[in-house]
Amino acid sequence: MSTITIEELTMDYEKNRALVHITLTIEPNKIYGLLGRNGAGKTTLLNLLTNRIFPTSGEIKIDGKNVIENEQALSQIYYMMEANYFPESLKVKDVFRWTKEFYPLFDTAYANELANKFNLNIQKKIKSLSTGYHSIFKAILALASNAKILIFDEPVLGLDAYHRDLFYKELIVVYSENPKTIIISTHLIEEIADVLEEVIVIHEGRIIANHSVEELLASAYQVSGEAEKVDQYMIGKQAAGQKMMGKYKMVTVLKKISKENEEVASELGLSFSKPELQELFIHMTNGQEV
Amino acid sequence: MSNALKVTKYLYRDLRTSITVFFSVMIAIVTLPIFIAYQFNTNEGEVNVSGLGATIAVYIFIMGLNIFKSNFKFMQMNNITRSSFYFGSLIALISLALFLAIIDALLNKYMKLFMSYQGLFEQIYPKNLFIADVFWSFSLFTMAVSLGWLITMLYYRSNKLTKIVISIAPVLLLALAGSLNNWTNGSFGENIWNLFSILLGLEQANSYMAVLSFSITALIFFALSYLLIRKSPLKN
Amino acid sequence: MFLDFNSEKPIYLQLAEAIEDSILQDIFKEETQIPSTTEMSVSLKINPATAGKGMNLLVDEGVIYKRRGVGMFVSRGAKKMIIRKRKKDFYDTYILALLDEASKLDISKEEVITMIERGKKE
Repeated sequence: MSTITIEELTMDYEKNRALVHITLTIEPNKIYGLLGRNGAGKTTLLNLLTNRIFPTSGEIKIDGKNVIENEQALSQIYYMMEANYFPESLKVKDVFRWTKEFYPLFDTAYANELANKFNLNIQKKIKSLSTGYHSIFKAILALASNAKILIFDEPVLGLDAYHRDLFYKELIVVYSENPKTIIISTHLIEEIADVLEEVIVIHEGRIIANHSVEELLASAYQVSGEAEKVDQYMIGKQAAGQKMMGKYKMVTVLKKISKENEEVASELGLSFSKPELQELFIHMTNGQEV
Repeated sequence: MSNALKVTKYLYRDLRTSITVFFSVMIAIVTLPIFIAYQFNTNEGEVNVSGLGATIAVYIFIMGLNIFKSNFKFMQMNNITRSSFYFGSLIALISLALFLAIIDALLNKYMKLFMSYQGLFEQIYPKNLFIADVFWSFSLFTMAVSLGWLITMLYYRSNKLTKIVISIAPVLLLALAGSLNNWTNGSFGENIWNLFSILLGLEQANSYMAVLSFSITALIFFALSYLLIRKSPLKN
Repeated sequence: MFLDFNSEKPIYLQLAEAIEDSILQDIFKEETQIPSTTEMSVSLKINPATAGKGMNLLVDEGVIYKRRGVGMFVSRGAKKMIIRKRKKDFYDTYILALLDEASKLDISKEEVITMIERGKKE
């Protein structure tokens, strides 16, 4: 089933602490978004999940077995890294061939089909690929790997709108055909919000939210109307962010809407709305925790 | 096939070009004198060539230096464990050392038919024994490659400061040995030479003594490499 | 006063409504196959679970049904079913709200009807 459990995971680098006591369960066959600002610890967490690096303390298990040097657990994961570690002198098609060697379920025909769709020339050497095509090349490896767990770190880096769209669509196709766990770390939240089922928000090395997208969006609301009335409504409540346009004001509150609040707002003539995931993320990682 | 053997397979593929180029050049260098000798009608006995043994030892040492970093990263991309990568590399390196030792011993045996040719083994131990030559070269090449591999891993695991220390350490050791030698009026150097003489079995012309010394050294280097790779993180 | 909770309706509801609209407009005819959950989620770039939730809503209402191994089909009488449901929704969301607002503004029933007739002409 491939359930990933992370217990009390801490990672210290020489000068800074990247992850602080993270405890988390990643359920099988769901699409997760790993969101966080630059330097929040996303890549460190993903590197630890795949034993590319070693934690300072804590454990990561896949189906109850520690991932460290665990061939059986690691072979279930394909991890597309943001950094480039492929031998530069190899051609794209050579990497396809060797990936098939190490991931016997790798679908070479599908990889070639994807290369065709993305206009990636498989005769090209890795070193001659542009940033965008580097991303495409690595994303294709992951999509065609047929691994039970796919991890993408910034998969659409340098891709144009058309290719990003194509990537999201192929991702859904791959996911629909064979159930698998997908973890995507990205900065382009708006584009991917509807593709995600679950969201993990990481901020300064800590998990500050881990919910389904639906729950997360329901855990906050925006209230808007005449500035004075909004201020009146906000007495005793904490705003995570606000927007002013003349006399109009919109405030984001990281709480569920309650019946009484609804009545108060109704009396003041204010209206409620749901924030978008990206907006909510910005407010959440702006120093406040949910 | 186990992942370790898949790593070996990949490394063979990776090394193929380098080995082909090396041998083409070497064979050209070895056969050139014969060609010249015939061309100028000189007596073939006058052409004197020493074998490739030392060159191969240097070559395989450099191969040890080069085989780690980029392949480790690529194998990490494929979620290959460090131990599989280690044992896969080990099989590749040792089998390569054996292959090169056999080639070298064959050259030593058959080049004599065309010219006055003396391999490294024959120069050190004045005898011409095929099997002893293979064993001796094999253990020498294995030691050379294990040293190269260990050095590159030490570099990979080190931060800047340790890298500098590792780089200047051999120079410092040589300088230290030199001054120690001067201070002891040459007896330090003599003792070292005697030690080497025993370890390499020079006096009794016993090449198997050297095989034992080389093998133990290689074993120690390989063990140290394993300790270094066991917790090696992926980094740039 | 109208509280607009659903200015951004959940996606699965939006999908269910979009399918209903297509049935009403005869884009998906009764007893014909409609795109699969996968096709829907791929073309709309939404999570397959979300798309499945929207589809299941319609299955539960009897608007569409599943033929094992083939796919989703529009039920016989689906169009009627949707119209009936929408009419009820129309009454609940528009008529009741209209009358509520009218009573606040002291607009008589006759005035409302005149207004509707005027709106229809324009």
